[in-house]
Amino acid sequence: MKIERIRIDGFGRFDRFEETLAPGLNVVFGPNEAGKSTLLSFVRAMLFGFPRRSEPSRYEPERGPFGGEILLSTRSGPLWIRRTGSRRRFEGELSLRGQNGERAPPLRLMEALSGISRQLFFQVFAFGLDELSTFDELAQEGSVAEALFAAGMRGARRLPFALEALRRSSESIFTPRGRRELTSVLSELEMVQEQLRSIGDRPAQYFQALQEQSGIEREREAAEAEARRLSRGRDELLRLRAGMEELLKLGELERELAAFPPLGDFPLDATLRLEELLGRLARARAEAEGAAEQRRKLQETLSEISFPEKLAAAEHEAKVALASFQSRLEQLRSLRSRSAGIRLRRAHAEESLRALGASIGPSEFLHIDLSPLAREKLWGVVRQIEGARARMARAQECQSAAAEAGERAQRESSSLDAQPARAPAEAFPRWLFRPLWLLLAAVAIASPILFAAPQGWVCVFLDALLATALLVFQRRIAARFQRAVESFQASEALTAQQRASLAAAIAKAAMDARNARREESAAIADLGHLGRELGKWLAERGLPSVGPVRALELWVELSALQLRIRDLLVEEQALAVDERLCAAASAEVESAARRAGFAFRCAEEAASILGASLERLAQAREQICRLGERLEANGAELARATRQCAEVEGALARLFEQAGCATEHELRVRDRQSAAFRALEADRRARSLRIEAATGMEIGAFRGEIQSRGGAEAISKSFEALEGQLRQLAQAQRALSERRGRCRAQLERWEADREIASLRSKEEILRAKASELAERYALDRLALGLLLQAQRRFEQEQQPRILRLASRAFRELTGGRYVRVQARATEPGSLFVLEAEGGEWPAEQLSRGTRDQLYLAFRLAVIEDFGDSRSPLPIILDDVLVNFDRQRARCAVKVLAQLAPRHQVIAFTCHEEVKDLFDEQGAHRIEIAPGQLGLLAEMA
Amino acid sequence: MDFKFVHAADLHLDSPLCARSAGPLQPLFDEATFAVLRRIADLCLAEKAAFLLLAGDLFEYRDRSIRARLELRRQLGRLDDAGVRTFIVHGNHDPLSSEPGTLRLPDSVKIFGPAWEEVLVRRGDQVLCRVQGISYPQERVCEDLTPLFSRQGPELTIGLLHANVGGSTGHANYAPCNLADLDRRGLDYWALGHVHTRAEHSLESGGLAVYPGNPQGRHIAEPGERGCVVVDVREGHPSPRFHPLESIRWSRVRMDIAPLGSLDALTDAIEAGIAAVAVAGPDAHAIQVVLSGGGPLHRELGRCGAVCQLVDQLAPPALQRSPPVLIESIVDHTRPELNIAAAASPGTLAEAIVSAAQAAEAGGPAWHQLCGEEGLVKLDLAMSRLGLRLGLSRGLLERAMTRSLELLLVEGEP
Repeated sequence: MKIERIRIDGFGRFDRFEETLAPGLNVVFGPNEAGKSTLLSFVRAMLFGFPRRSEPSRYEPERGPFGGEILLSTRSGPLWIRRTGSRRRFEGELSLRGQNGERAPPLRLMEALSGISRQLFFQVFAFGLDELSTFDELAQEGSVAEALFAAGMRGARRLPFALEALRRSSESIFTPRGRRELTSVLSELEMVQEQLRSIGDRPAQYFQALQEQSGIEREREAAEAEARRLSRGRDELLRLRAGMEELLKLGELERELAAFPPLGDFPLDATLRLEELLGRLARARAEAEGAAEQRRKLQETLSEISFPEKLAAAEHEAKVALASFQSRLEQLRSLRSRSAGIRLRRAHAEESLRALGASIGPSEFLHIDLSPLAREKLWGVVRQIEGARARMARAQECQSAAAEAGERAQRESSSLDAQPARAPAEAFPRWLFRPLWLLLAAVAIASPILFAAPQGWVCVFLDALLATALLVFQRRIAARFQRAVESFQASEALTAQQRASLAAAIAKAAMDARNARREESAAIADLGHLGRELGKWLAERGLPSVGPVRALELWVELSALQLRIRDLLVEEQALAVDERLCAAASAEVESAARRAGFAFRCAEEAASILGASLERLAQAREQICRLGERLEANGAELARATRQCAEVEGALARLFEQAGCATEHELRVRDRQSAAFRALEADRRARSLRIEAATGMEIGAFRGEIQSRGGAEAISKSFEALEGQLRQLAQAQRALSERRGRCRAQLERWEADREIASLRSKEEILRAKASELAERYALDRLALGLLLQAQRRFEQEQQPRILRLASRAFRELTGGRYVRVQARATEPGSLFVLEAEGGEWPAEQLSRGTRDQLYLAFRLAVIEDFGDSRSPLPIILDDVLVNFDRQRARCAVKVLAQLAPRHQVIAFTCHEEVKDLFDEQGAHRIEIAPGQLGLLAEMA
Repeated sequence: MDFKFVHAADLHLDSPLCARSAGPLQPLFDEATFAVLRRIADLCLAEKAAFLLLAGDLFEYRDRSIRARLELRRQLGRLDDAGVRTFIVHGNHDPLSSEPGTLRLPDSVKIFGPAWEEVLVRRGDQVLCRVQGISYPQERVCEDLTPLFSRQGPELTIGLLHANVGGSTGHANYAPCNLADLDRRGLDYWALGHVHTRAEHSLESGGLAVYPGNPQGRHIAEPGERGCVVVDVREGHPSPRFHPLESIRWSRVRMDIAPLGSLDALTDAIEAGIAAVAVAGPDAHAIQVVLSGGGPLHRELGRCGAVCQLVDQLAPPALQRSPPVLIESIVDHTRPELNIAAAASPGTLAEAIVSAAQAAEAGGPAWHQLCGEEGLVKLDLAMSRLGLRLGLSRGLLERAMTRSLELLLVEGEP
């Protein structure tokens, strides 16, 4: 591990200070109070935490930030260690960051420091002059002492670590004096066992409680029996006491009853009955008077009713005539308008008949046959005429078509004759070929003769070419002529065929024309015959002669008219009947009115008078009937009231007779006395019954019992005494119940109790845990014991390596004056030195400077050994060379420079000559001055 | 006449089962001994047994817990209702002297007293067999009780005895005797109790001596099937057959880490081991995993909390199994991959350690010096006050030697 950079936020006098260090030898030079010791404390604080608040080396500024950071170069990469002041922890808040600023676990710092203790680091790696001059503390430091004796053994490089690991591991489980996991488990186990002991022998307690419970049960049973006995006695006395009160009241009642006159037969509620009878009599009398008054009024009303006598004699006839007339009244009123309507429609029908051209009157018209049969006949004639006309038209059309076809064939035939076919002619005269061939032959023969070669041969060649061309031309001309001849022959054959077909068409047209003419004449004959038949049909019906179509239309119109005329005739007949019936009804009603003695102007008035009179008659009759009924009811009521009066008077007489009284007043007085007597008597009976019910004894026996018990007072005293006993007993029973409840609850608790089981289970668990921990502890302690035994053997047999290293360093520091450093097992913590000349000196007897050199040598040995066994750590020396002379100071700086490649060295000094010695060894120099702190900070 | 009887022993009712933490299975663990008693009663009824023999140590504690007594009365009451008799002798855990009172047991229950007794068992007018027995008057009975037993008639004769036959280690040597002693008494069937491991011995005279073992193992040192014995008697010859009944079965799964390269492989191997052991039958299994051997996993396991993490990882799925499995513990007895012979070359500290261990193992001052270390002495004292023993054994010494060598020679933090 090496320190690469220091960055102070605030520490002592340093405020925002930053400095970079070299990986090897460094010297920090500055005068006194420049802050060298502060820097040492800062490095210590960053690595191991700030000292306690009371420590002077804490260097906490009064205001502003407190802390800073340092950058370490470790085996596992760069590590920023930041520590800042904290209120909660005096050592400050630590935070670690890795190469890329990521957070790192605190373990990284421990790894970087190779698990070195704070004490060892302060004593050996970062120390000042004060620490240097004391060896006792260093020798007492456990790990140093072990290193002193063990680090040099073969294969024991890891011995301190192993010892520490075993100690740590075992002490985390158990220490004889501290409180650790196993101690806690054992304490807990002891507690559980104590709890089990304190619970005691639960079954014994249980059986004791069971016995107690049965004892309580027995006591309760006895108490209950006693309570039952006492309760019985008390109940008896209670009954007697209840009877005694009743008995006293009973005596008083009997005395009061004896004072009354004899009232045994006096009727019950006589006054009430008297009042009721008097009331009933008054009501009956009032009812009789009311009925008589009403009867008089009804008779007067009856005498006032009038009655038409004549009408009453002929009431039935009048009602019949009136009813008949009223049923015809509407008809009578409509007769005139119906007659006028029929007349008008008749005139219209006659007009229509005339308009159709009929030469007959309506009555004859009704007899014309316009039946469906006749209509079918007319339809037949008309259809035949239409058919004949159609045939004639078709024959005419066929005739004209045949004529037209014949003419067209004739024209085509003429045109064929007018255009005779021409035979084909040759395009080129064939005879010309022969002279041409001869000419070419002549040229072919003559050319070689006439012309010398090659002209002669050229001529022959050209002649041959011409001959070839001529041959081709001749063949084409011949082929074309042949095709023309063939075409001409085909055309001739076609023309002949056309001529033949045209001749056939002309003949067929002539035949068709003849047939059509025959058909036309037959149709004309039919038409004449049918026209005559139609005329005859029309004449028979007095109709003008018209065409077949019009004849059909006429038939339709005539049929409708005939139907209308027939309807008219029916209506005329109905009107005549109605007129006759209306006249008869009017006559009847007039006759009835006349008989009843009424005067009138017309039948309708007679009917009206007759209707009103009949209604009045009916009303008078109904009124008389109602009055009769009411008179009858009134008679009955009057009789009932009279009868009731008599009855009540009889009852009153009987009541007076029964009570033995003559007047109402006397009866009322006697009735009040009777009521009081009866109440007293009832009270007496009730009390007697109550006494019997309460005591179970008859009155006589009860009186005897009281006498026998010494009277009422003695009974009361006995009762009070029993009550007291019962109260005490109840209290005792309650106490027993509570005891029993407690006992039972306790037993139930014990029966369902899982406390012991749970404690025993817990005990087993704790025993198992304790055994396991104890085994682990024993394992560690045995391992530790084995290591220590082995170490002790080595102490006796081999010189520890650390002393050899210290000897070498001391020799170099003293320029060879001293050759060896020794330790004695019998005097732990003491060092001895051997001179080159052989003298041996204890450290205490050396000069101050030489002693400092010895202790520095020893520290350098520890440092070197630590570096070998774990990992190299930086060395920080605060002006430790002050007591060295120049020669030995130079040797010391040289030794430090030799260490520097492995262990970074940071030396603080205020001495120029020491600074120069470091400069000689090529140290990286850092200079600080008190006044420059702020400036440096600014520069940083 | 043919008949059957049931022979059980060492019920240790209300005995807590020593599991470090039973977790959700705690109710099962608490009820285990009672559940077994109920099953014994059920078995008697199912087999239509003529009687039940209980050969001592019915209760775990001298004070015989109330729960245990009530449950015993309830179950024997069931048997009584069904006409099944019960014969009981008390042993060192529940001697007669520890009886502070009586919860009235059914009339059909016969508890043998401190003197030898014989009871004739009848069915109708016919004698089925003779049962002889004797209870411990106090906890320690150091004399041989077998001379008190002897055949009294031609019928099948059963001796009900709580005794250590053959000086079995691991159990107090109470009522000591051997098979020859039993054989000399000429009984047909010795219904024994006290030794918790099931055993059946044929005697030369033709008799049988049977330890049914305890029907419910109480800790990891009592692993495997536990139950009682149903004895079929045909034509006067008893033939026992074992019937497992335990509620919780304890088992050990041993695992050599040598072939295992990773913790995942170890986890898989342990799970496979558990699956092989945790068969159907009991209500639950309690399994201890013992890791042994040397291998690359040793250092992983040696890290602080590694074994606990392994338990935490394996426990939940094990509890989900049917029947559920409690991983009682994982014991790490692994060792580093260390060649001690090579490392302990002459002149090295390792050699000094090995020779120190050898000297201690041989006993004498070296051993006493090791054991006399202050911490160990004080711990032993503290533990002995609580009835515990700090077992410093040779095996532990060997492990200590390995541990110290490992720390010294193997690089890195263990």
